[in-house]
Amino acid sequence: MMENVTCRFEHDEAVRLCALQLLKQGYDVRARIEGWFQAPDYIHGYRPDIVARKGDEWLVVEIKKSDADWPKISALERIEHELAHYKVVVRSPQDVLRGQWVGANVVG
Amino acid sequence: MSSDEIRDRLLIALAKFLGESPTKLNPLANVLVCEDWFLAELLEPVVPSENKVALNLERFNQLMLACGRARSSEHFYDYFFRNVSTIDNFEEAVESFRIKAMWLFGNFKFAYKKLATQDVSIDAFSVLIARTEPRSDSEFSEREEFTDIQPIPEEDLGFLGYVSGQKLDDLDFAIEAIKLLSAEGIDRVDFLRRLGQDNARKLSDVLSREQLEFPAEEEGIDQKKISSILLKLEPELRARRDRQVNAQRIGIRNTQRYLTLPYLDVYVATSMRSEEDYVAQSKFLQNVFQNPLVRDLKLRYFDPTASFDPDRIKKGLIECLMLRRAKVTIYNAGARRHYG
Repeated sequence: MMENVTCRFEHDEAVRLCALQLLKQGYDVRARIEGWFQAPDYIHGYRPDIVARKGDEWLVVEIKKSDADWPKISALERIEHELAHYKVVVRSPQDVLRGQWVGANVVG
Repeated sequence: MSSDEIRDRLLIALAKFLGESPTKLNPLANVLVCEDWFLAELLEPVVPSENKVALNLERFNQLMLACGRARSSEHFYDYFFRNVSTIDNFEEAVESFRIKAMWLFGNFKFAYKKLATQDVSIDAFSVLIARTEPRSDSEFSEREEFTDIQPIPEEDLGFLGYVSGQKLDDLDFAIEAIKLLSAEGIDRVDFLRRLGQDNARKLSDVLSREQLEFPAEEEGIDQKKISSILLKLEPELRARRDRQVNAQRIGIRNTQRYLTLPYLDVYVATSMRSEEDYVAQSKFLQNVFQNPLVRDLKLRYFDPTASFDPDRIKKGLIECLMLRRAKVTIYNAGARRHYG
């Protein structure tokens, strides 16, 4: 229970960092950041943390909170197989906070 | 006092007893089912001389029938009206009934039906009326002090709010955005365009809350200014975040404690959005539960300012559960209209 508070803050912080980094890289961004961005649409019943678009390239980003996220991640990953121009990237908050950005310069 | 005056007072009290607003000229106009001469005839022996009221069950029931109500039971009459001998006594008896009616049913007519009519047994009547009787406070005062809930510092209460807590996330966002704007090689114009006008304005708002000014796009990005902004904001954010984490941890633990309490006396309901709402509510609770008339009862109450769950839907469900468990609910209406 104690860790949950910190985990949640780290997750949200990672989403904010990712979204801003993607903006910097020239993406148009939709993100689950209350009050700042329009939320992404649902994909196969789940709303990803971020959907970013640059030209024809679409990036679906999920910041993984725990292993319990697997149904969501597996549903999101289906879009990658269905639509060639979609890329799904899953990161842990710690990865993002350590500076492993997603986007053009990182392989998902 | 003349008999007419006593008669008027009696009729007014009778109307109030029946849950009717007494009209000036004819207090029982809305309920009377007999003609005026018959009412006068019924009242004559009830108001025999100055200040006296001579009531008995038979006369009382005649009045009830004249007002379209069922006859009352003997035990009901005995409880409220047996000792009535003056108009003052009668008014006091009516007031006593009205208070108990409100406590038990919130409705005078319904209370008469449920307490007074002849199909209500003396046992059923006694059980109901016992709930309105004064009772010893020893069951409360002799139990252990309620100290299960860990307090949260008043200045940190706002960190529990879903709306007020959002401010810190906004500040975090603003800091990260400013860092990026000051980074080498960034196309600042493009970044701000993608961020959008509304968000750029919001960045300025967030900074102005901290008494800082965001460098406007046309003025260019002043590195020195940005460094000084970051120097001030980053440690500030860290400190506030630590306090928020601590407050929320306590709030989550308190929620668990509330969920496992064997019983709850009072649920306190309110709507809180701003930090000020949290502080005001906390002060209100202290005033109520530290009041000398209440403090010694050692009441177990749900303090919404000391409880937290990250999921607001779950928090709502937990509060519904608390509401159902509590014997008493206090609703403290906020200054603004909410839908909480």
